Amino acid sequence: MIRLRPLRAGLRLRANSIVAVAALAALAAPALAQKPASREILIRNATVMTVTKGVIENGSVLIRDGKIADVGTSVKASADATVIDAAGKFVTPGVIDCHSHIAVDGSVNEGSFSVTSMVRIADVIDSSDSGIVIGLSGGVTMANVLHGSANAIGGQNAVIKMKPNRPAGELIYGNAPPGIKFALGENPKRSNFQANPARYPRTRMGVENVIRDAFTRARDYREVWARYNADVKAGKKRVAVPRRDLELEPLVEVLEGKRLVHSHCYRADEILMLIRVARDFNFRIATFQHVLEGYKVAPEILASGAGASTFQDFGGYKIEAFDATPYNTAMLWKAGILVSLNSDDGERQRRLNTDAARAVRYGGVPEDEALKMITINPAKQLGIDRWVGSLERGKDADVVIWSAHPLSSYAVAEKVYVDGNLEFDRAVAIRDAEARRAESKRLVEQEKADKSAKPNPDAPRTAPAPRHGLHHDDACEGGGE
Amino acid sequence: MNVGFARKACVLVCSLDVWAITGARIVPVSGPPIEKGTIVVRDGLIESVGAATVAPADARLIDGAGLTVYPGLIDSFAFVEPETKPDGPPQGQPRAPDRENPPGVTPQREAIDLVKNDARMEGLRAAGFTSMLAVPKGGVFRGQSVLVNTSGASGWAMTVKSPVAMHLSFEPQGGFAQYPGSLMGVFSVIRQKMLDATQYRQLREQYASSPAGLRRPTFSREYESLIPILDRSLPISFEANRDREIARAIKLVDEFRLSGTIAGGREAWKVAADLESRRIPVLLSLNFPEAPMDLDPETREELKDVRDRLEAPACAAKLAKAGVRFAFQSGGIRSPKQMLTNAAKAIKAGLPADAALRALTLSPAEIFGVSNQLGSLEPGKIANLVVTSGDLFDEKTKVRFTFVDGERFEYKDEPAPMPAESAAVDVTGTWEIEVTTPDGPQKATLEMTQKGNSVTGMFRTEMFGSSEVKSAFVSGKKLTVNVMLNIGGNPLDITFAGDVEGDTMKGTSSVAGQGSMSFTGARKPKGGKLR
Repeated sequence: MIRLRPLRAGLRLRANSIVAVAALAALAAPALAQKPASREILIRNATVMTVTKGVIENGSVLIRDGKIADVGTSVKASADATVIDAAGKFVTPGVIDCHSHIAVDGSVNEGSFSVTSMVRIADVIDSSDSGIVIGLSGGVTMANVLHGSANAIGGQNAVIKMKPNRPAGELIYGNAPPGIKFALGENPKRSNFQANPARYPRTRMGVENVIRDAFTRARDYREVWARYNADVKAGKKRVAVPRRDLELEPLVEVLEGKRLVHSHCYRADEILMLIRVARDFNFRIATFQHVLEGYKVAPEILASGAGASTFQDFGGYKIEAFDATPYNTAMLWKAGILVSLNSDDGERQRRLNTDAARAVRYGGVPEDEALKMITINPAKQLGIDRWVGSLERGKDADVVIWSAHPLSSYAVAEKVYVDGNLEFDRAVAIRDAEARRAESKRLVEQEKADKSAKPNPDAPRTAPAPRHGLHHDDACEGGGE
Repeated sequence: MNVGFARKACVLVCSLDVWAITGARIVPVSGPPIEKGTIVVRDGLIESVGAATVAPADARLIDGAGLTVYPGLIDSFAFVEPETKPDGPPQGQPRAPDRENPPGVTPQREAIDLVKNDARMEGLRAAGFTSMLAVPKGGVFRGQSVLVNTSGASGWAMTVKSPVAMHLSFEPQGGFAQYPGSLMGVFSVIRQKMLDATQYRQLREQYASSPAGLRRPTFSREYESLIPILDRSLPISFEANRDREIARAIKLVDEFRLSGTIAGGREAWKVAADLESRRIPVLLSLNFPEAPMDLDPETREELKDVRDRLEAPACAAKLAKAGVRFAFQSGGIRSPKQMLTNAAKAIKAGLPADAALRALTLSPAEIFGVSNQLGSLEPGKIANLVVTSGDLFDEKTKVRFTFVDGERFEYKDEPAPMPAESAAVDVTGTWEIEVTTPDGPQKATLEMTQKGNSVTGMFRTEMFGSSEVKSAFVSGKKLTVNVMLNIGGNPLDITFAGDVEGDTMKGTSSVAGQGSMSFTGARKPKGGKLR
């Protein structure tokens, strides 16, 4: 049996048996050129939890060219495949976090207006954010990176694959339909924060009005362009081209069903409000996010066709979150709503498997259903379940090897593959952290020893950047950043 | 120097605008160095250059023996700002954010209106810099740059080319309540403005071709200035240092089919292939990052931060290897001499010295589209040159002459004053100095070691840093100390002249060109407090 020799490449981890020897020799050289994924990786002897096709004892998963080539008990790999013996381990699809703010440069809130649909998270992805590695360490392979909740209609999201230190374009998941953040309640009306100058709206009535006004403007805008295009088609020459409006274009896409709405909310009344607005303007809400009072209006949510992406066990941190209950998940699920569990936080993100276990504990969600809430269900909510969210032939090879049953408190993600690349290997990561500390110390000493360098009073100073990965609601929406 | 006779002859026959530097080492950049040659400057232009060139009869002569002539240096990016800020909102009344006219969008602003022949230009000339790309400071759409020579009667007279490029930054323009208050918002502003300018151009062209039956588009200075960007007739320069910032700039270049330039470029080597394939040049900052000052010794720095500053000087060498065009810029360094010090760091990190010289001369000229005017020593080009005592990147080298548009500036070492009599006191020790200034007493410390007449040591101040004593000597009971402080990039030449009596002294401290003040000094007892 060939055992995988993990190799070190800074934060990048690749499994490639051909270069493993050379890489180990060059342990001190951190930035290895990026290696393509191994043609074939065979994970075998594992308890394979496919999520959609049951649990396979003594099962194997074959990864080829970044995709899942086969899953089952009698999987054939080529002779040169990298083979990983996962006896006693559990294999699942990668965890998908349906609400995250990691890997963003600058503020996650464009706080200026109540409608900031023109801003795009995809413009500011920072793949060097340690939040990506932290998420990987909890088996997370994808995240729905959302704009903050300071605005009734916020910016455009980016669904990313967790690929640390790679060009931003490689992280953004092209298969994902575009989405947009909405927010209701205290944050968009700025109840808990000083705004200077004060921003409209200051009430929940105002939040509704802002959304209705925006979609009314979007309808008018669509009309203006439709008329212009018809005129041009009819051969009219003397027509003035209308202005392209980046605020309204994404809202037109919402009206046309091309852009998914992910709405931050807590209270039952505001949930019902948005359902009414969506009905009046004839668009669908993809997910209610947080939705802590969702259990009070579950039938209405179900009827609206929206999914629910909630905190399993987190509430009471602000007035509108006082009616939270850990049973919310189970009640929403029993009502037949498509439920996912999200983190909204760079730390909780790596414990979503524990949150899934809590859904079993509080309200008795079946284990397989709980696991769906962090894999295939968020994939469905994000419109990407054809490609990710379960271990099925042909899907993206986003695969996690866990040390124990993923719903166990003792389970840790040992190896995490994203598109077939080993992006996280716990043993290597621990060793790497120590090596990095030593290397940093050595370089600083070498630098200090060099007396030839004349000090430059105008030089920019390298300074440890403040962490901004932790973004659960009240920590992030104050607009301090 | 054998100038004396020639100068006498010149009174009768020489033209004031004709110079010949003879017998010098000449580095034309456009060709191989000439070990011993002559260069002739006439009426602001280079007339001839070469080993066989003969000084014309009407030229004033400079004996170039032991000197080296280079093309004048170019700082390819430096900010200029208006003296008075535009009217802001009245104090205490926060302005509401403005979606249509966000702050920091001033593409119509032109640096040509902001430059003048001031002390900064004087400093540049003294270090051999004869041209500078002046960029308006502040904003997202900062405005249009101008390439100026560092001397001239006015900003317009100094101008070589305007506009050179449209300059953008990714700086948010306000806090939470302003738009764009986030980095994301900056990209929305840039996109919306490009789209608005596109619409404006379309309406304008439509109207121009046949106005009848159409409403006249409202004239906009802002969009008029953006049309050359859309037409690719004016390059657009993005300030970007991180690899991901550069990648974002490249994305905009692709999205709007722009002629792009990167300014800053600290991590450009990480995206060199993307820059090379698009022929995007880099105005590479020489202001390399350094370690934080006063860092708590307990602090363990992140490896990536340490690497950040170790890798920065090697960027130029890597860009050169990858075939990316680049030119050096000051990037906020205020002392032009420091630019050369830092260029030497880039050479130490692997950049060939001739490539470093090119990045300060011909490369920026090419990038700015003025290589037929500037950047090398060739007949017909503008007579911008620097004459040095030796290799440009040697710390000890001194600039002897700078020529800007043929105008000669000479720089001389001040002769070191000599002691008149032998020392009658020993000033060795640490002295507390108190200078009486109009702003009240200022304290400083002089640590001195005396051997015979000569004195060496350190000069320390609380507010203005420290410096080694430049020259000092004792003559009889008189001490003369010359120190050079660097205050915000401006050198401050101070001379202390005091009469020493035991452990005290008093006298005058004079700042070159700024008059003098009285001072007193007291020697600290060894290992104890002041008596």
